[in-house]
Formats: sequence, structure tokens, C-alpha cells
Amino acid sequence: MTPIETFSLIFLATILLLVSEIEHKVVVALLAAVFSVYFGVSYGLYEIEDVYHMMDMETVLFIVASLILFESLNETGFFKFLSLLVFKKLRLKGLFVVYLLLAFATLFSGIAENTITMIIMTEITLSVFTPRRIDPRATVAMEGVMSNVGGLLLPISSIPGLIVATRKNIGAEEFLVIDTPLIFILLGVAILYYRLVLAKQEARIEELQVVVDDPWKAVENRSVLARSLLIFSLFIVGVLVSDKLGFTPSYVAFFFVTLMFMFSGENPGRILSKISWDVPFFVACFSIFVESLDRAGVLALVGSYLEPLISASAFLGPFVLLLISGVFSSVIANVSVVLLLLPIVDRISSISGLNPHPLYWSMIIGSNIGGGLTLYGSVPVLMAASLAEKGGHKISFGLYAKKIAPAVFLQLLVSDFYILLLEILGVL
Amino acid sequence: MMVSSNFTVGAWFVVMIFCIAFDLGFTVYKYVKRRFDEIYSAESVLPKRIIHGVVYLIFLVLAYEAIRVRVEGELFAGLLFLVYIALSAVAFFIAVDIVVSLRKLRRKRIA
Repeated sequence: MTPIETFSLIFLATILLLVSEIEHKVVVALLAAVFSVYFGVSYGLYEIEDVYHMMDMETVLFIVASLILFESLNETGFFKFLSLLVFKKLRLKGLFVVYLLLAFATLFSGIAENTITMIIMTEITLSVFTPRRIDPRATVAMEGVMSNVGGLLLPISSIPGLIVATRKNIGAEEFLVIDTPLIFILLGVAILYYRLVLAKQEARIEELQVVVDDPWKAVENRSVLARSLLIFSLFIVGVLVSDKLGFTPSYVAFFFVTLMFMFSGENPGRILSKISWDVPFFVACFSIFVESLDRAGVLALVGSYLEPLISASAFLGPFVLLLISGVFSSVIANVSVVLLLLPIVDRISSISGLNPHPLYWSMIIGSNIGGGLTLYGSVPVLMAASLAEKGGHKISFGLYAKKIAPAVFLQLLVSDFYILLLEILGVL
Repeated sequence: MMVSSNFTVGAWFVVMIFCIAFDLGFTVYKYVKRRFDEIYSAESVLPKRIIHGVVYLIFLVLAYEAIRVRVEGELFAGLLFLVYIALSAVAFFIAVDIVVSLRKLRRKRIA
């Protein structure tokens, strides 16, 4: 067998395992990496010493540090406190409660890990809907969708965004400039869709009301909250100016992890035990696999099929890529989609002379939003479904496809036209 | 007479190798089947069982290639042949499992 045949088989097995979810995604990534390294070294594609560099340690370390900081802030009860405080101050009723919940899901996933966001949001939503016997399923699922949208806010907000940002030097300022208007537009789309489609199916939604006694009950220790919030805010600023300081984002992040562990008053052991370690493991192993595919020529082969679609026109390329990454992300983890597509996009842009920048943005946006097309496509939606089921409200695949997937498809189309508009205006 | 004796010994070896490899393959498949039956007890997960079978077939091809790439040369031709027979035996039973699952799935869809 030739290297390209062997690595194509590894690629096929990996995709089948990821799509069917037979094994845990970390096991799949480990399998892919182990096979890739064995054959890569045996065929002489690279030396065993090169494997460390193929892991993309900068991205992996930054992910670990970000997860620690997110979890530290979550442990203080900040997110629950903030949402309860806003509900108390605004005294909203009916559909406005839902709109605020969707806005919170978007905002929180912009500044926290989206699994954490979904745990908090589902808990709040069920506590608001269940006492009034109003069906919370559509709202919880839409929060999962909006959590994907919120992941566009900053490079640290989602793993796909973070991977593209660290590898292609896209700064946090650029994220804010390009993605903030889009997030607002997509929130508007979600609210409109909820009002026109979902609200009509739940007659008692107007009865919704949030009664908040004391928001401070969500906070165990106010001093710890204040210190953690200060350190977390400094971390965001530090990441924004990391290139001006001459340090890598991962160094800046670990600097603030050290500060958090020393001065916040939180227990580092407890924080470390709550981290989703599967994320950095997956990224490290999958990076080795993708790099091996690249060296074996498999990505060039896949790229040759995608090239006519993407390089047909400078304007339509990003449009098509956004849909491709969106649809792929609905069946396999969006992290793997981005890791696989990134070298392909680089190859296509170098061959066809296309500006890769709009393509990177298409990938970031498409992979983040597209996960919501199916119930199993993205972690926040899946999390929302499983938490709702625990609360006695099962969100079936059919219900999701019928009620929520059209909203996600609408968001993908709107994002596509947004990218097109930015290209026409010369922003990208 | 000499040629005939050599042929008999050679044939005996081939049959023995085949039997050992087949027995080995069947033993491995029994482990795989037990695992499949544990995971895929319900008929609704038959498509996953089929995909799992296909993935295992790919793993067998990769396992053979993993050995071949390291032990090339005439010296190891016998060993490679033994490995080939053993892996083919496992692959045969997995392929049968895939076909049976496909037929069950088809019958279920028709019903």
C-alpha cells in the first residue's frame, strides 16, 4: 500500500467513528494519532521527534489555561448571580423572559465555556418554566443554539475560533469588530423566529414571570467572586494586548491562572478536577492526525475535490465554505472540521491565489453555528437536551429537526450573506 | 517418491497453518461478536453495528499493513502469509456479521 492509501483508510475509519459516535471522541483522536504516528514514521514521512511540534502545543496550552479560568469564575456563582440580578431589576414577563434567556446564553458562552453556560442556563430556564407547567424544550434547545452563536465573540469563546485565531494570528479585536454585529443580527433572527414560530405553539408563554428573592444567594463567598472577576477581566485584557506585550497568548493565560490560584481563594485541586480534559486531549491528538494526513497527501486529494467549489469565485468561495463547514459540523465535532479544513483552505488559497482571510472567517462562523443543525452536532445543544431530559422534558431528534433546525439553517444563511456583505464592503 | 513426500509435508503445513490461522481468527471474532452483542443489543442500533464492523475491517487492513511495512523481505514471507490468513479469517466473520446485520435491517425496514 502507498502512504496515501493507508492514510486514506485511517481517515475513513476516523470519520466513521466520529460520525457514528461509537467510541468517545478522545479515544477516536488517540486511535487516529497512534496509527498516524506509526505509519508516518514507518513510511519516513517524518521523524518521531517531529510529533511534539505536530501537536500544536501553543493552542493546547491556551485551551487548558482558558478552561481553568472559566471554571474558576463559574465556581464563584457569578453567572447565576448576574442573570438573577438582571431578572430582578428588569422584572420582565412573558416572551421578554425568553428573549433575555437567549441573550444570556449568547453572552455567557462568549465569556465562559459553553458547557458551563448550558448548565447554568438550563437550570434557570427549568426553574422558570416548570412551576407554571410551560413546555421548556424549545427554549432550552434555542439557548443551546445561541450558545454556539456566542462562541463567536472572542477567540477564547470557542475552540474552533481559538484554533484558527492562534494559528493564523487573528486577534481578539478583529473578532470583536467582525463578529459582534453578526452576533446581534443572529440574536435578532433567533428572537424573531421564536416569536413567529415557536411562541405560537405554546399558548401559555405569556404567563412567564421570574420571581427573584435575593440574587446574592447564588454566591458562596463575595470576596472570592470579586477577586476572581478582577483576575478574569485582566486575563481578557491581557489576551487582547498579548501581541503588543511580546508574549504568546498561552503564556499570558497561564500568568493569570497562577494569579487566580494564588489570590482568588479558590481551591486549585477542585478547579482542576472539574476541567473538561477531553478538549485539550482531542485537539492535541487530532492535530497530529491532520498533520500526518497533510504530509501523506490526503488533504491535497480532498482539497482537489473542494477546490472547484471554493475557488470558483472570490466572493462565492467563503459563501460555499461557510455552508460546507456548517453542514460538516452538524455530523462531526466542529473542532475536527476546523482542524481538517484549515490546511485544505491554506492549500486552495495558495494554489488559486484567493485571499484566505474571508475563508478563515467562513470556517469559524460555519463550524460554530452549523453544529446546531442536528441535536448531536454541538456540545451545548446536546448538553441542553440531556439536562432537559433529566428534568423530565425529552427533546427528541425529530422535535429538534422540526422546530429548531430551521432556525439554525436561517442563521447559517444570514451569516453567509453577512460575510458576502463584508467582502463587498472591503472589510474582509 | 521424494517429490511426493515433500508435497505431502508442504500440503500438511499449509493445512495446519490455515487451521491455526482460522482458529485464531474465529477466536478473535468471538471476542468481537461478544462486544458487539453487548453494545448493540437493540435492533435500532443495527446501522451502528454495521459501521463498527466496517471500521474493524479497516483496522484489519491497517494491522496487516503495519506488519508488512516493518518486515518486508523474503525472510518474513511465511510470517506475513500466516498473518494474512489469520486476519482474513477475522475479516471473513466480520463481513458475515455485516451481511447478517444488513439483512436484518432490510427486513426491519420492509416490515
